[in-house]
Amino acid sequence: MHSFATPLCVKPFVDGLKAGEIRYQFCSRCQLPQSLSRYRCLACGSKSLQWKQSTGLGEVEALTDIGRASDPAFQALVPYAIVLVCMREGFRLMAIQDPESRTRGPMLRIGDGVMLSPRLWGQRIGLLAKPIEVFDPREAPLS
Amino acid sequence: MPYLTAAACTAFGDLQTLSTTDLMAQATDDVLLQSGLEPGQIDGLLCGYAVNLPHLMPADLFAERYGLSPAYAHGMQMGGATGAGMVMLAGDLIRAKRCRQVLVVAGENRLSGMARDAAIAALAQVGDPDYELPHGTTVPAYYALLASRYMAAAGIQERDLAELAVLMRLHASTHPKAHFRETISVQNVLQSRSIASPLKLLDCCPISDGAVALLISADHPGRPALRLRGAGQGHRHQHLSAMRSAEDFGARDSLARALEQSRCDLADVDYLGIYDSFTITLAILLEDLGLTPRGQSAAFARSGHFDAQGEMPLNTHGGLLSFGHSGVAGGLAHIAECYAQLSQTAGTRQIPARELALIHADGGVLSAHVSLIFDAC
Repeated sequence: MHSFATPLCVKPFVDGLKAGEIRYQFCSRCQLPQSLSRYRCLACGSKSLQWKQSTGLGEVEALTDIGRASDPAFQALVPYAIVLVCMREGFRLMAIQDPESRTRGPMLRIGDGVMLSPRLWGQRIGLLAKPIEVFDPREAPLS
Repeated sequence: MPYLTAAACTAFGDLQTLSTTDLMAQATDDVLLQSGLEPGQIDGLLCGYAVNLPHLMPADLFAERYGLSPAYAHGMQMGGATGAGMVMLAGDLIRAKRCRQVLVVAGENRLSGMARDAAIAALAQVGDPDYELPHGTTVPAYYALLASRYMAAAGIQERDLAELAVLMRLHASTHPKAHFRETISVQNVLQSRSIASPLKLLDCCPISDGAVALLISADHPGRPALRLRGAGQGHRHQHLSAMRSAEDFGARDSLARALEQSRCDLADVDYLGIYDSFTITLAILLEDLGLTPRGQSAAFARSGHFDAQGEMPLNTHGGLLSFGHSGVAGGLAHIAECYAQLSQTAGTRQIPARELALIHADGGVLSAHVSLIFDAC
């Protein structure tokens, strides 16, 4: 846990998670959605960053199954899958795959659709990624 | 023109009785012995940070204990790029005529001096505290995420990454100071336990104790020395979540700047010291720097291209993966090895004569990049 104050540019994100919402910054000058929180737009340098609410929907961009946790709060959760998600709005978030879906079924794959929602992991608020059930023709019974 | 005029490594591994500054002093003793300098002749001092000895002013701490009174001294923090970053700055201090003899030193008893989980937790803090750390992340996890994305795009398999671990261990097997010297096979790597998929234990560098000291000087000393022809940096993101592109991490920005200052082409390079915190780090950097086509680093390794006797010797000391990783000193070890090989002072490990070396290091999650070009003279 970091003991220093949350930076002003990050606070709306953390407050959003506590309120059950996923918020992200959007540049009103060049329209670029921002990954992480910033003082100025990554592309155009503008300070006119607005906060918007995300749908929570996204696609898995990268993933890893953790076999060894150093943090005691996570040791009980091992193995757990961390995913990097490209959100529908065009920014990126990290999350943990819903442990139930991880235990019950296979790990998510790159390109899979997920729905993110705020979730407490140990003492800290983060994000949970639930697989979105989509029709997969490969799984359809042969007739 | 700045010259690399001396380089020394302590042994790397489990050195239980030595503290961080003991290790730094040992490496510095060796550099003074090689160069014939007295401590009073060191007028510049750059020290790497140590996770196990966080300090407001590490260079002053070391200068006091070692009896140095430099005209310029401070610590530096750029993660894995710190070693190369300090050498770049030392070169600029020489070029600006600020200093004539700059000691670059780093060491840490990161293995024996702290609990493994404490070291892993401290390093994980390179992640964003609000967006990343709440998800139980570790440094291997950041690189594993990167690996999953990169491998899918470049068509790389886990056994390809394993080739690079095997090669680093082969190189370390001949170095008496390396942390791990027993040769391994692709099967050994594939069967080692999973840390953060697709990375397994032998895809990850170890945590080691050790120190490295280098001397950067204004004049050619009339004994083996390398010229620091040029240097460059690239910085495109800090956190994995903020990377701008999964195909361009900033390594090429850094390399282009170093080549421009050096007035040479990548095609002239014939020796490599490339940062290898994980096998995937090495694969991405080799490919991103244009040293192999995308997805081909393992095939090049398999063909012998990067062998000590090959066309393009790579990390001939065994790299972070096998020589060992004691923090900033781990990155300096690539430069110490480059000095030994290009100056032909590597003794029984000497490879055929090489002319021009590229050193490239990254800090964070391919976040901070430093490239250095040295030539034998």
